This record gives sequence, C-alpha cells and structure tokens, in this order.
Amino acid sequence: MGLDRLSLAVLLLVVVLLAGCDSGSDRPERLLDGQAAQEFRPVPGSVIALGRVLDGTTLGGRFTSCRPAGAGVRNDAVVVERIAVFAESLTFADSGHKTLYGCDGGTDAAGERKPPWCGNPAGLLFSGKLLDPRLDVLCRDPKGRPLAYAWVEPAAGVRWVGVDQGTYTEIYEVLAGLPVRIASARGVQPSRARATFEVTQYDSHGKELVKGKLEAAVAG
Amino acid sequence: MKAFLVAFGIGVVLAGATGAQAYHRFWSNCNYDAPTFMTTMTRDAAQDYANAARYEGYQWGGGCWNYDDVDSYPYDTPGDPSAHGEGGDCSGLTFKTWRESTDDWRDGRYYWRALRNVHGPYTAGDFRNGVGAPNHVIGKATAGVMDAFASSTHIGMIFTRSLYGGDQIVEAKCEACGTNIFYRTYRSDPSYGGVARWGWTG
Amino acid sequence: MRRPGIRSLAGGAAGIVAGVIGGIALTSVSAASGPTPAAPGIDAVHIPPVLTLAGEPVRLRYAIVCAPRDDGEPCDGSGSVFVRAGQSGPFRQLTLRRGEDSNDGRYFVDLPREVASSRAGFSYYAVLRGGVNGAEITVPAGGEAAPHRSVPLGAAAEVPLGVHVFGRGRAPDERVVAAAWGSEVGQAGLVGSRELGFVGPSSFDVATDGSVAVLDQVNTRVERWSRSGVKATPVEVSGGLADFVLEPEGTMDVLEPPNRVSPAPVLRSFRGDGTLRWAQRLSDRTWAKLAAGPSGPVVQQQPSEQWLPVAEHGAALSRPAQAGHGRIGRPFASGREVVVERVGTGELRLAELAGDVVRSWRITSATPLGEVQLAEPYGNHLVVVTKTYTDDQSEYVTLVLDRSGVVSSFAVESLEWAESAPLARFRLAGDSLYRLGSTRAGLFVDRFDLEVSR
Repeated sequence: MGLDRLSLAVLLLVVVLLAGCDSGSDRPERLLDGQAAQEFRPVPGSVIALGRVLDGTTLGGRFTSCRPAGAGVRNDAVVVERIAVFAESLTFADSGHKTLYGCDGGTDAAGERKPPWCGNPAGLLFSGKLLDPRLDVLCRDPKGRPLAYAWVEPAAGVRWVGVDQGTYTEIYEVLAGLPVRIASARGVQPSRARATFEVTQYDSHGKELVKGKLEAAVAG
Repeated sequence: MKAFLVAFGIGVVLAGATGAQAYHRFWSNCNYDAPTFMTTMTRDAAQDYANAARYEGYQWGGGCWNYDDVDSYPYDTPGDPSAHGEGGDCSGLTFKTWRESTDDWRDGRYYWRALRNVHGPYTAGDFRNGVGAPNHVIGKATAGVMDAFASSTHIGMIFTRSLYGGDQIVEAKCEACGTNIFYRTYRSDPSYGGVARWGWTG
Repeated sequence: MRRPGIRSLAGGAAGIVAGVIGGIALTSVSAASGPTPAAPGIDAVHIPPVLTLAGEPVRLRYAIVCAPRDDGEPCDGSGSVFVRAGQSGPFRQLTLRRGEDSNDGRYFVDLPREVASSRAGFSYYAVLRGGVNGAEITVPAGGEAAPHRSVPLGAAAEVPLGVHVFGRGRAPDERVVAAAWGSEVGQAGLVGSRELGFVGPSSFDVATDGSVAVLDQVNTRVERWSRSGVKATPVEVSGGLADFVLEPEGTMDVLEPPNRVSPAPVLRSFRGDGTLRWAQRLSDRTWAKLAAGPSGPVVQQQPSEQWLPVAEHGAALSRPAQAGHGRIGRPFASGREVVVERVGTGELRLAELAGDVVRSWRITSATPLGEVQLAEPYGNHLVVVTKTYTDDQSEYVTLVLDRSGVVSSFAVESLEWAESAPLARFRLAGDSLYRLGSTRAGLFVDRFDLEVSR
C-alpha cells in the first residue's frame, strides 16, 4: 500500500513537473495570422515578425481602410506590412515623401474603429528621416492588454531590429528604406501616454550593433 | 563622527546635484493629481482655459504650466520630450482644454489643473481622425468657437472667427513660437480637417 | 594606511544617507517654491458687423475671456455697449445681457431698430469687465476715439459664384522667381521641425520697378529679384512667420509674430540697407495682415478687428496712438478705404468708402469661402482674391469687379508646400497679380496679368 501511494505521488509529481516544463517554453509558435513563427538564428528563442513590401493595390482593403484621404498617398504606394505575434501594422509615405503614415492593428478600446486598424500614426520626414517615434498607445491586443507602437529609425548597417517581449525577442526586418514599426505590450503606461521598448539592432549576420531603451511619449 | 560629517557633505552634494537637475526642469513643479469630473463644459470656459496657457511656453509631449505669463524655459531643445520644459504641445493643450480622459473610451469631462502634467493619448493626427470617444470629425465650414482644425501633425483650436475670413487660433505652435493666439487660414487648407469635442453644455 | 574600522564605515554610510535625505529635503523646498501663479488679464472677442443689409437686425455679441475658474465655469463678466446712429454725436449706453450659449459670444445686445437701420450706419464701442478683480477691456482698443463703424451695404452689386469647379486654375503668365531651398543667394530658406513642420519664406512684395522682394526670414534676409539678378540684404528678424511690405521710398517693414520671449507682436522698420530704424509693439495681441497705407504701414489687428496705423511719416506710433486711429477699412492713397466682411460660410461683403459707401458688392458662393487674401482698388475696378474650399480641396478665386459686378475672374491653384504668413500670398502691382507659392523643390512667385483696362 505504501508503495502504491508512493508511486501515485511520484506520478503526480512527474505530471506537475512536466506541465511546468511545457509552460516554461514561452516562445510563441504562431504569428497573429496563424503562420508559424520563424526563429532568427543568431537570437535564440526569437520570433521573426512577418515583413512584406507590397503596393497598396495588392493589399486592397487592408490598405484602403487605412490610407488617409487627401494626403497625397497614391493607391499604389509602397507599403511595408508587418504581422507579429500580437500586433500588425502598415507603413507608407505620401508621394512627396514629406509625411510617413501608418496603421496600427488591434482593438480600439473606444469601440469606434473597425478591425484590423485602431491607430493611424503620422510623422514628418526630414531628409527622409523621422525625428520622433510617433508613439501610439490607443490599441489593445486580443487579450485586452494595452499595446504600444513606435517607429524605429535603423542605424547605419542595421538589417534587423529586435524588441524584447519578455519571454522572447521579436525581430523585425528593415524594409523599403522606411522606419520600422515595432510593437510591445511591455513597458506601456497608457495613463501617462508613454512606453519604453528594449530595442536591439542587428546587422545582416545577426551581430548586435545597437542596444538600448527607446523611451517614447505621445506628442505633437 | 568625522567620517559621518564628510560623508554627510558628500551626500548633500550628490542629492543637490540630482536635485538641481530636477529643479531646472519645469516638470518638477508639476503634479499628477487626479482630474476633477465635471458636469459642465462651455465653449467660453474653454476659451478662458486656453487663453490662460498663452505665454506659458511650449513643450513637445507636454504638459503643465503655471500662470505667470512667462515661458520658464524658452530655449529648450525643440522637439525633445526629455527637456521637461513648461507648456503643452498642440495636442496636449487641446486634450487639457477639452477636459478629456486619459482613457480614450471615456467621453466625460475631466478638468485638469494647469500644473497637472498630462498630455493625453492623442496626437494631432488622432484628433484629425476623430479618434477617441470624446472626439469627432466635423465639416470645416461650420466649425465654431473652440472646435479645432487638425492636420496629421498639428492642431489648433478656434478662438474665434475673424473679419477677413480666417480664424484666430489658440495653439501651442512650436518651441520658438510659444503658445499664443495667431491668425491662421487652417479652415481653407486641405491638409487640415475639422474636429470637435462632444458634450459642450453652453 | 590603517584599514577603516566598522564604526567609521557605518558612520560614513549613515552620513551619506543623512546627507542625501537632507539634500533632497532642501531641493524639494526649492522646487516647490516655484513662480507663483498670476491671474492672466481679461481678453475679449467680437466680430463687428461692418457692412449691413437693409432691414437686417443687428445683435452685437461679445465673449469675455478671463482667468479660468477652479470650478470650471466660464468667466463671470458684464459690460456695456456705447452706440450711436451715424458716425458722430453722443453715444448711448446699452447693457449687455448674458446668454445661455457662448458659441458666438455669451454677452449680447440687440440694437434698437432706429440705430441698426440708420442710413448713416452706426458706430459703437464696448467696455467689458470680468474676472475676480473686475478687470476691464475696451473693444475696439480706441474706444470712443476710434469706435467700430458699421455702414449700410446699400445697393450692392450681387455676385453669385455658384458651385466652384476645382481643377481649372489659370497658368501664370510668368514665373518671375524660382528659388531652390537653401541659403545661397538666389535660394530660399526652409526650416523643418517635428513641431512646426516646414516653414519657408513667409511673405513678399513687389516694388514699383517690378522687382520682387521676398522676406527670407529663415536666412534672416530680404532677397530681391530683378532683371539684373538677385540681391540679398541682411535683416535682423526673429525667423517667425512674418508679414512684409516695401514702402515706396525703400523702407522695409516686417511684422513679426509673437514668440517665446516676445509674446506680443512687433513691427520692425528697416532702411533699404537692412539697418533697423525702429521696432514698435502693436496695439492689439494678434494681427492678420500688414499693408502700406498712405502715411505708413497699417495692420489689421485683433481683437479690435480694425486697421490700425503703426507709423506715420516714418515715425512709429505708440500703442494708444495706434488704437486712437483705428478704422474698419484698409486705407489707400486715393483717400478711400476698402471694407471687407466675410459672413457665414459662403458670403463676402465688400465696400469702397470715401466717407460713405461709394460702391459695394455682395458675393455669394455655394462652395464655402475662406479667407480674403487681397481686396484692392485697381483703377475703376476692385480686385479681390479669396479662397474657396471643401474639406479636401481648395483654390483661390480672383475677381476683377466693377460697379455692376464681375468683369473677369480666374482661379489660381493653391500651392503651399511650406507654411507662410496667412494673408501674404498675393500682391497687386501695376497691371498684374503676383502669387507666392512653394513646392518640395523650392519657392516661386508667379505673375498673372489682369488683362483688364483700368
């Protein structure tokens, strides 16, 4: 009888331990759209956010529901689409390359905007560069967590931008010569309209070139 | 005892150094008090509030101000939110004048004192798109007192129409410009749209 | 060296902690005792009905603006309007009533019919009070000495514009200036910031010899384009969006906006070589437009909504002197003045006065009308440039008017990539209209010949 109880106890202990082991691997397996999440080899446990350079015509409704009217943005504008684990975005510029526009994905807490877009950031380009990350804290992820979106201007030689999401690093590819729209649910302070991102920038081989905090505030 | 006194002196210097830097920033004068929920919000009360922010400076990402009619830090680096200078930026001034909540799903009226440091979740572009429960897009031709005109990157509130067809706009324009009333032609400018606040009571 | 004992280390640590606490306490006291708030002064808003239609009832409305109240309620104000039929004689005091709505001004008075319908028009000023200290303001600033004047529009020529068709802008007859962005002579300065966007040269004027002078405030200079080339004259200006006028004898006047250290607008008068003659603060807090008057520069100012002279015969006028000479119309060398009133969303009333109304027009448009950039006599005609717009389009409409209506008209495309002064985009010189514009590539000034005999 004692041995039976002991065996049951051991079995239960094993089950608990195994369950604990399974939940300890927090690297997501899927992106927001259900695609398998790829890993960036130089950064173990990372997830590569899908990044595509398309034109607005190809994106169809995803772009027309985002494109600002009367802003000089062509129907066939070059658009960078990104789909990450819990966030998605579009980035594009007007035809004069004076203003950078975007759409940030998620749920609108005010319930006014239809999915997928809940935020419409915009920022002036000076010699093709943004001077402000254009933080957006208006969106919520599928779990209702506040999301923060911001643009990162990649440094020279940077090919990938990584954002520490706590249990994994989310990797964004630099595309089309445009700033990279990143997202995070960590370090978001909606009541103060601020967010802090832990950002690492890598070269094409995955070597870290720049690492630090991006502290952004809603402004302008 | 000697060690204590020497170290005490070092400690004061250390605190003083940090404290001096903090004092140099206007935000150390400001607070994070809760707003006052209000049942009324009239257009002329909003004129009073925005008018009082004139001369108080401009701060990207700001903010807060006192009522001494002086920009305490007029030469802060433009566009630097860490300068923590006096004043609001264009969208921050509008947010506070329009008594909005930091929760974008609330449309109630929340009165923020001038020294309360808050910007709110909206950029000028958000206002332009009518983002948030309190805000909505309106036709420019009929925009009235303390409605606003917003572009993707700037917003100014209508202080009043003017005889020559433009408007006197109360706006936090830029670090060098300060916050003031300027004559503008945003109404007829296609890059600007009309935006209004729900819930005026008079 | 003897190793420090435990007691010394502890004492040192305690000292640092105590010192930091003490230092923070001192700093907190000094941070808390920042500047004490001062109550802002009283301000006012009023749009005068300067041109009235026969039988039109007149309600004068005022907003009284004072220090914000802790309870969030509006200013507790009061006031009186002093009004008379005609333009001379004693004033009669009417008390302002407080209304329920503040959209057009909470305080109002309905003028008696005999005053509102007087064939000589009427004139008035208001004294308003508000705030905890009962501060006072007179609107217009000149009060009894230079009251608001309202004149009957009379038998105005009706000019119905209908619905504007966009996209048919007239091509210029000549591009007289084309300047790339930059700081070399012949280029135009452009400044950009995340707050301000893009700002280029804010204003320009055309000299009697046809040369075009551009206020390139970003590069702190005036550049002058003529047939013989480009010349730059340095001027000490703030760099803000300023208006600019060339006086006939060569003086250059620059009307500066308020800025971070000078919260009131200032007119700076420069000699032809760019040296400063004088700087004079304006009577009012806000300006719309600078023009060359018969005796010197005049400025359309708010809240008075009058044209006020800032200098006469080369000498600056004090603020009270400016206010004491306010008038409703822009004065011209002919002795006449042109009065402009934009009404509602699509109506523009114009009158040319020589004391009384000499001729007048009432322009109506189904497409909303924006600001009036220019309204000036041109021989026997009046040239008017106004903006027409929808929520996502705009164009300028140019009208050449005679006594009976429109003689000619054309549209001008709105091209303003960089920001400039609000009512400084057009100038009338000789037989041509000149327009300041900008694109991503640079600045330009176009000439449109009016092709109408004076």
